[in-house]
Amino acid sequence: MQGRRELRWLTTALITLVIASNWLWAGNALAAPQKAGQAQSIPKRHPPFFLRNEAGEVINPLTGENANQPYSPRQTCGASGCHDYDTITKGYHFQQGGDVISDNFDPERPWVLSDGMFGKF
Amino acid sequence: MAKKHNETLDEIDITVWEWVTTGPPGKPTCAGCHPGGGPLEFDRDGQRYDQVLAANPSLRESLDGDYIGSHWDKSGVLEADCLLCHSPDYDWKGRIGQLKSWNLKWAATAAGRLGIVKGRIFDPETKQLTGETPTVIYNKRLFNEDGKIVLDINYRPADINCIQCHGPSDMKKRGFSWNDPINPDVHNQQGIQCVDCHPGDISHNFAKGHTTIETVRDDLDNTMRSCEDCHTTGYLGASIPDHLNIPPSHLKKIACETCHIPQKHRAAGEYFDSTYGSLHWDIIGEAEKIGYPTDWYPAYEEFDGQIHPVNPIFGIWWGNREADGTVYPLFARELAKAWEVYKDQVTDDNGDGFPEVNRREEIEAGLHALEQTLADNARFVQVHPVFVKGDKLWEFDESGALIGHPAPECKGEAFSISHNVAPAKEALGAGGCNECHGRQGEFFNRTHIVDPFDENGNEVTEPVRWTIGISDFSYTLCAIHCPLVRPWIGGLLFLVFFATTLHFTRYGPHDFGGRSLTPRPDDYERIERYGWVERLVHLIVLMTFLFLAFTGLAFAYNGGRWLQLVFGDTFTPRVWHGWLGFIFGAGVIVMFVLWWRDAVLVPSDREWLRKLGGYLGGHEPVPADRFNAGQKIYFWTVVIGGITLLITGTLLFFRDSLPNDVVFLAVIIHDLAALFGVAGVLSHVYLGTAANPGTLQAIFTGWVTKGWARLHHPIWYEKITGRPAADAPTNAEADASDEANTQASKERG
Repeated sequence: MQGRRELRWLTTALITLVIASNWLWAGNALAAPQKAGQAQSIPKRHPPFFLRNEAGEVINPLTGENANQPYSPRQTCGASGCHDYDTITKGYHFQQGGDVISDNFDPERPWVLSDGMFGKF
Repeated sequence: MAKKHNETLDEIDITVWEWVTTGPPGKPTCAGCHPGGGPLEFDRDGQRYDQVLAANPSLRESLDGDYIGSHWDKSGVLEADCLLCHSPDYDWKGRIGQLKSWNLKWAATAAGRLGIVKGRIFDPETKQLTGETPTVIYNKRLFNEDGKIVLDINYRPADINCIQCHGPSDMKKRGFSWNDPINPDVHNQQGIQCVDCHPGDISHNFAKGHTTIETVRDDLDNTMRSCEDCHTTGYLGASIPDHLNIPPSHLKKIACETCHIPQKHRAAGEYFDSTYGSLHWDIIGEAEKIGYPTDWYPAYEEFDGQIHPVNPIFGIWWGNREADGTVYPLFARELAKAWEVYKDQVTDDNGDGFPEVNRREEIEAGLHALEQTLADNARFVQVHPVFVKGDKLWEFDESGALIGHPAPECKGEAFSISHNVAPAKEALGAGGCNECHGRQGEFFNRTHIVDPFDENGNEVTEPVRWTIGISDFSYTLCAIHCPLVRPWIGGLLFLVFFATTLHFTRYGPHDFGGRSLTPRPDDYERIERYGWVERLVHLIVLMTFLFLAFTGLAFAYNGGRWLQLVFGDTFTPRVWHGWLGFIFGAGVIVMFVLWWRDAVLVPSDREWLRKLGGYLGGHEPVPADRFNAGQKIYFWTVVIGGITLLITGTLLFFRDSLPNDVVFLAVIIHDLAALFGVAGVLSHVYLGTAANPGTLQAIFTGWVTKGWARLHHPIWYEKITGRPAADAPTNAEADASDEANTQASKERG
């Protein structure tokens, strides 16, 4: 009787230990910082896509369709909602002060029209 | 850049069109790096340039800064070129060629290497419109059968894409390069990429650091991963340094970059001069061109409460003081026009191949030339030219005489340096404190240019230490203290220990030649020497001093590991050191109040001093009141030293709000006072224990025996008991007693 009780107690402790260690391991794995460039959602290669001209028409050099026209990044990358071109181009690398440029930007230094390269000098 | 709305042609400098399409031969246009989109697609009214100009071609002849002289209707606009950042195969030079040929809407196709662009709208060599409409011949190998293109596109911009733009400009400003064995960066060598520290988001706003001069989107300052972000967490395998041997004040006051970017190895610009109407750059060191290999040391500046490495590029420029007092920098064309007038009056005094305006007559010639050439310039109400060199400005006063005066508001900001980080073993201070603080320490001794050419054409420099608020006086004091005094005072502690041991070995306990006083029946009776308040205060001062001395020595000699061993970290003892220092100081002040009357030197102390208290032999008890002359001198030393420590310690407690020079001096004085204090206390402990048996208990129990008092403090004994102590043995009695003892020994022998 005593032996069974001890066995039951040992089994319960072992199971608890296993669950606890598993939980701890999982917790640590979740807490570990994600290494740069290893995010699961990032595709390694960009999928093939149609180039488009300024009018949004497909450029297909194989068929000759609009084949002598330059591609338009706005129409190509921003086509069909693939990338939010308008949001992206609000980023400061694109604006470089263009979003705040004004003839009256700095009354004390009237030659400064913005806080970025576009208008700062 | 030209304003949108202008009233005269003279107001217009570089237009948006020129910003996009014009650049010096062999150099990019501004839009070479600007990726397009935003203000290169839409004008300041939010309209597409090409559509507006096509609808209203007369704008080309207007004073509209967006359209004057432009050909947007032929060139198209410059849309955001995604591949500029996301294609590892991007042809940046190809992009610049397209921009200078006004092939704006063809630039992305050509630079992305999707095909060949044939034809150009403008010929930059002949400066003529060609009449051509460019066409594209796509590289069919890039296309699948269904007509879709397959491109090698990086989700995360590769370093090379960042460096193609940030490299050239930051090379000039900061000597920055990346993936460069000559000018390496330990992070680059570990495979860290730009976007690891400067991550972006879907809105393409990349995390920024905080530099001295960049102003765009200041709300994003300090959003990038800082040194601490990685080096306290181990992110991306970063090492986690403990810096135990570095004083915390250094870690707080000095930016990581200051020590970890000790040197740069590619030439940056040292100063620029716009005198000729084009920007002439002088280069740091002996390098022939910017970016060429050369070794140079950054200068330092304090901003955001920390000392940072910088390249303080020196500016020479000309302006016009308007009627409201504002100094307007002059346009390149305005300077070029004036230069033609007075260039024959300017000589090359320093032999660098470029004439420089440095003598009074040359400055006057330049100002007069500008008065002449700006006379019909419609952008100014008042023509009053000025010459600016660094933080000095020259102009004519009302009488027409040339005056020069400080103009700190005209000085440009230095460029902070944060890349090309060296390994820890090469950091400043890796070789010890003297690497910076020693007399040969480069950190404080380096100079930076404050005038590229004085009136004789000679370069004028000043020590970098001045820019971070360290005077020559405190620097010299430190240069003596750190490498010379501090090690010797450390040795002084051992010398005191050795001297006391030697003294004890030679003379033993201080009993005036081994003589006993003529016994009295009450010699073993106790009398009170110190009251409980005195004992308590002494105990507090003793205990706090022990703590302060142990921790202070650890601070002074970089014993971070001792502190960590005892306290678990190095922060706790510093906090305690500060607060216990106040208690120690208060204790010293109370001791002063309690004992100063007993410590006043009196004429009888001369005899004690003459006989050195009998510590170097002698058979006669020497006169001493409650305190002997030696104790009095020690008392005043403790009071003066303690108050010095209290004052300097208080200054260091509030060091963050004090000038560097004050902190520097306070550290040195605190250090010296403490080290001498420790040496003094060692002597005090010896004299209170082994040298004078029966003395130690007095400060703990408060009592001494009358016999002890008769021997050591006879005057005090007489005051306490009302009995003379003079029955102490005289010399003659002592000698007689000696002879008797010798005789008795012989007889026994």
